[in-house]
Amino acid sequence: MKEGKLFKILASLLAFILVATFSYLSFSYSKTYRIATTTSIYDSGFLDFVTPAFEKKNNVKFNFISVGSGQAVKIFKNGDVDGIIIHEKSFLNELKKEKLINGYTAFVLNYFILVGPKDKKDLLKEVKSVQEAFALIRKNNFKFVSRADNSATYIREIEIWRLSKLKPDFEGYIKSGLGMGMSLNLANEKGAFILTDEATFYKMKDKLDSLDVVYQNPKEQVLTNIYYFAYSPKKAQLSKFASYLKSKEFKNLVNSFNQKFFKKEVYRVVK
Amino acid sequence: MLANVVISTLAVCIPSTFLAVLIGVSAGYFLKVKRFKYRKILIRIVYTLSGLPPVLAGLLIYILFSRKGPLGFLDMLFTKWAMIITQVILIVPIVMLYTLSGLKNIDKVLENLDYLNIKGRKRYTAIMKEYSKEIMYAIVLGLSRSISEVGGVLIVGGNIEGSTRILTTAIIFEITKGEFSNALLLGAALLAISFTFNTFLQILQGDVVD
Repeated sequence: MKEGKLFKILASLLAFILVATFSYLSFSYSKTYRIATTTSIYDSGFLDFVTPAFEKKNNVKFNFISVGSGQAVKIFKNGDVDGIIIHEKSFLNELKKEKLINGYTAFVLNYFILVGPKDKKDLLKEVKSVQEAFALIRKNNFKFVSRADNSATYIREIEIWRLSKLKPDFEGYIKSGLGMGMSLNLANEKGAFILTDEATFYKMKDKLDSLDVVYQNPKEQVLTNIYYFAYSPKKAQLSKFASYLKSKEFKNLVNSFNQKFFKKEVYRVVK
Repeated sequence: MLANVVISTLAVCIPSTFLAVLIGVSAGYFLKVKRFKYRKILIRIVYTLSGLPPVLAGLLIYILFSRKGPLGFLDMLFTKWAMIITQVILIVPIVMLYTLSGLKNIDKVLENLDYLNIKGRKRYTAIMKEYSKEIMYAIVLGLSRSISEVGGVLIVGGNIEGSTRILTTAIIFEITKGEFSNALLLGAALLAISFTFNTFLQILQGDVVD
């Protein structure tokens, strides 16, 4: 083939690629809602598991933006998303006061647990509360990874320090500034303790070979981790999704999610 | 899943490279050839912007396109368009810089064109032909920058599955979940795309490396 001919073929191919990508970009979807969500419930795969049934039935599409609870609230306040899923009630009450939401729906919960290095598990056997566990870690200057971001998990950790009347000012206290998954990896590498939610931990457990649950207690209020859904009053159609989160169909999906990924009850439907 | 991410990646990187090269090469040419008052300081600004951190570009675009921002009414945040614009901002200065240094002997070329009395569209076609290798380099440069960029597009795109999740942001996402083998797989796909494009461009131009 002559060089000029080859050039022409390839140039038209290049032009074709350009036209194809630009027309792909101008293609728009049906009704799309943007929901900012806290990382934990999204990264576990939970939302992608329970929403398609709703999307299909109502011919809508959810775009989830997975960020920390603090950031989720910020972008919701800016009006850049239509709804939020977070696990920090104080943020929601704030939004309600500012009339940015009418109310919120508690739909699923799991528990915060304390995980730590396997070889130190026995040391916490006698511990009676999570505050006591924190105090023990601090006293022995064990390594402890704190997310130190504006996340709900971090806010809960600070609450536990406050309840224990202690300050996290010891040498072993590591501020990661990372999301839950990355912080768990960090704790695993450093042999450190960390406060986490059950779902994220059990989902990643096979990769966290040096960590194990060292303290858990579903009866402690401070360790209850409830997820809420709220939406902008301007997007009243999202009330349908709020009621779906209370439906039998949703409950069944939660059960199958637990069975499929954890083989035990991790996410519990809130009544 | 992977196919979706690959398509999104192409849908972001191809237009951003195309636009950035279009803008960058013409602006670079203008800056090289024309003499005007603030030319030197403008060149200095281009030098500075060529090192613009992607996260900073992402932050600026985020603020600009947030619904509370000046361009919020366009509703472009968390779409591919926001990602494309962020990448264009990052790539244009680099392409301009490259054009400035790539157009060596341009004075002689222009002199010859004057001598032959070639004007208008023909003149620009002739210049483009003369510097086709340099333009090809600019495309390769833009493409490799756009395909490897992650900080900016993560901020403005939001890493939405099936829409703004591209290979680099998907890699970050897999790492946060501790799924390192998935992340590696996506990295391999990224390299494969890069290789394909470079091969394609090299055939198009004849071997750029001679």
